Amino acid sequence: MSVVELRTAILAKNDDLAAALRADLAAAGTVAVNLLSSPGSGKTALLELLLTRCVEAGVPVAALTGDLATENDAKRLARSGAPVRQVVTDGLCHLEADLVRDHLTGWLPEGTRLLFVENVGNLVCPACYDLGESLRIVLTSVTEGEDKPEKYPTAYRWADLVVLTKVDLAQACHFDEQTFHAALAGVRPGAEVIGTSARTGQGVDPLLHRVLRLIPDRIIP
Amino acid sequence: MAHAVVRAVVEAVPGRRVTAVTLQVGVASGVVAQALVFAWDVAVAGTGLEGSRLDVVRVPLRVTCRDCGATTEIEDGVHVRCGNCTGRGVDVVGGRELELVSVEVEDDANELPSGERGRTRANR
Repeated sequence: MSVVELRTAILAKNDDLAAALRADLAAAGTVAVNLLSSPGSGKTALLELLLTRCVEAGVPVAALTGDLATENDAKRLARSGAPVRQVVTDGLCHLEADLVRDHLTGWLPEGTRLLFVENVGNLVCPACYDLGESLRIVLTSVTEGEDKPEKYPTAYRWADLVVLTKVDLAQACHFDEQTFHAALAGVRPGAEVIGTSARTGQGVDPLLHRVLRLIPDRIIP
Repeated sequence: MAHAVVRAVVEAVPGRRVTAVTLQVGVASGVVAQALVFAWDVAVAGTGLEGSRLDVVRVPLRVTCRDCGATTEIEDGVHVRCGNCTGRGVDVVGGRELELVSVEVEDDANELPSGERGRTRANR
């Protein structure tokens, strides 16, 4: 019996693939945004609105959307007029960098400046996987309760931006935004938060501007 | 995730009979150690790791304070603030690890014929 010392990062392969993907996207002038949330938080509704606004503004945008099964979300998002591709994971609870690359290869339209990747609805495993994104957004709906960041600290800890969704329902749900901010500050001090409603359109413009800031000036149409 | 660990082990020591795996899991890695241990027997089935034991070493969340410079451990693994001055301006410097530390392999001379491979070392 002998012991072999290894010191190998388990996710090194995914991290390497993600770094290569980020570099390839950057070389093509594309920035990727990874959207994470629990199921039912309103990722798809908000994304449909963001895609529609981008299309209207002439921003070359595209989206990948991950689900365990069905192409329902791709059909919904395609109503925006943006190129959309479904990633059916067949039970895998998160997206991985190689899955993203496989679905982009030969599909991502040339000249795409902004790529949204809607992760599988899950706040646990997706937090571990870098997908080559330049911005990681964690979405939380007001219907989920103020202490969500404390229950899923890992997802929030590595978020670049936290987006509150369904804020039009805040009063009906007795959602206390101050309590949410305090919970978030506990796990992710200094986190940037934008409140949105896909129903009323509130906060969508600030969110869009925040995302468009990622695109280098020279390539904004 | 258990499959990813098995894959990393097989790549590191191809063709060897593995009897134990030591894995470092940071509390902020997003991986739940109990779930990995639970899935282990299924993940190793039919591989050179069949019957092996999974030892998990927990790595605490560690932060370095931007104000006082101290590096401290976050005991509850959730609420980050400096353990020295209680400041909130901290950078997470540890706790995200998910790392294969070492594996225990049988020496080639002791390799059992495949039919005699038992599950006696299974982690139960």
